[in-house]
Amino acid sequence: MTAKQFFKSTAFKCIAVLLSIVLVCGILLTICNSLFYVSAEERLDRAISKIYGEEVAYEIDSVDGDVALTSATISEVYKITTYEGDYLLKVTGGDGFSGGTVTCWVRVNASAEGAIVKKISIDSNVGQSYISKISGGALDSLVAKQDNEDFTSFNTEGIKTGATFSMGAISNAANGARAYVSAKYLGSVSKFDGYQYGGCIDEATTVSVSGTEVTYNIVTTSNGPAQAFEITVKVNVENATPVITYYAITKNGSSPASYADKMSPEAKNLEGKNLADIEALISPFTANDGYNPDGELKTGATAARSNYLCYMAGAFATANYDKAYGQYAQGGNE
Amino acid sequence: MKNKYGKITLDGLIFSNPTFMLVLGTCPTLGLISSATSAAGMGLTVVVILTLSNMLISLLRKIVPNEVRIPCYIVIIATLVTLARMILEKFVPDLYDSLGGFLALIVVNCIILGRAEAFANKHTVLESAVDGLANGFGFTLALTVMGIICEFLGSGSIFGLKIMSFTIGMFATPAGSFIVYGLSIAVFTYIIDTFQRARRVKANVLTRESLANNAPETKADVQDGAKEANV
Repeated sequence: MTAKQFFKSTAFKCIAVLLSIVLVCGILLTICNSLFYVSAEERLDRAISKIYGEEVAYEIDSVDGDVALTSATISEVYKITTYEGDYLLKVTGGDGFSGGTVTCWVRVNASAEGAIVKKISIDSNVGQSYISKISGGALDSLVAKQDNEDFTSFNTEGIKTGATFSMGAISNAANGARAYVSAKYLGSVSKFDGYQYGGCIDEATTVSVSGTEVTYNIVTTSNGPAQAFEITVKVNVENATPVITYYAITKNGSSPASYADKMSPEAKNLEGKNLADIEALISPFTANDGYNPDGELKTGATAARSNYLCYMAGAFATANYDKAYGQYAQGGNE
Repeated sequence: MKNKYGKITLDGLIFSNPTFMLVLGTCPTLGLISSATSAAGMGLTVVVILTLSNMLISLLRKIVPNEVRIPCYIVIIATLVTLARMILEKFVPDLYDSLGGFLALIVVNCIILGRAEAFANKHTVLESAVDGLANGFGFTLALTVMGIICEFLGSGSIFGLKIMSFTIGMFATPAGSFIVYGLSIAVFTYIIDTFQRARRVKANVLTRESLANNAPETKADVQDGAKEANV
């Protein structure tokens, strides 16, 4: 085929037309992108308007990366000077649907009563197909149900959104915002600050020491649909290694309750296990967002989230034996 | 001429309604009809994109070679959807948020590609625009009606306005949407069938009457007619 024939052929016409359309569309989109770009400042103004319903004065605060948070990341913090003790935080909550995230604006008020979430507004999300099902009313109901404990989207009766996992990510964001304000502006220190494997351990957990035995009455956080577990764990030293000598689940948080039967035998009884044994059980979860271990059939009825909470409780008890013993052995309790 | 546009409009809205009769665009339908506001918002966005894409494709129908028509349609539709996303995010952020990922999925909406392939590339710009509007509004009406039903049953509200405290949670989920969708198709099809049957019966009666009026009544009349013809 000669060059002249090629330029007259249908193949050339196809390429030319397709490229022309792509070029025109590309130029159009580039122009429109610069025209309709929503700046970070505009987004902030929108969030303020949604949350406060009026213009408010604010100061930009730097994000303190030293504050440890579970399943939440703070990206922006603003001190609202119009309202005393008010902070507006842009927080990304993890553990949403399919391991995705939801970024929210959270208004938190810090006072003598503690850090209280006043309002939540959704900013953006990653992979949350049903985020549109979460209305402003549902978020207001979530805030209204706030008590001294963390938000748990799976335990908010009366709030039916059809997007429970996305609500879980929003709850994590709200919990993160509250914990951040508590730690940074109210100076509260986590009870188990510096302890290992504390990611799923609630502040309600108590520790006591008798001889060389450390007894933990562990209360876990929730993990998706799995509610908080209450587990009594006793740890003692055998051959210079802390080993679980007693393990009893006093409250099984599996949800639905029938999932308690589907839990693994190890999660039900970690007696005789040391930290290395438990870490081996946890390792498949760590790369898979805390509930979806490698190699396990994903039937949706594996009780993996419940298992994970139990393993984390066991790891917390064994890994922190020395620290807990040192802290609580002097007659100090809790 | 007027009759042609009327037929296109009626086809898009009722007789070839993309949601109830052709069962197209099922993905956003099931995902969004749990809220009447989201359903109506989605429908109106599709109206704009469908009309514009139909017009552009009709305009380019003599330029675009047959071999690359589908990639060209996809590029045009994707551009329009991206533009719609930018405009909604800038000026109507609440609607943009409520549509979520389904807004981007309009690119692969069967209704838009279907109308481009079945209608716009064979008709004039004006006809394609009317077809786009009719099909778009047909889709919007179907979504809004089902959205009202689902929101009423699932959340006890209509367009966000609380009406009753009793709710059936299932209707706030895609499973409930699926049931409402199925029942709506059944009801719509029944109504259209009944209407068309009545129209056919009426047409048959008229034909029979006109045949009866024009037919020779007796043998004598036939013979008289033959004589007149001979004369």
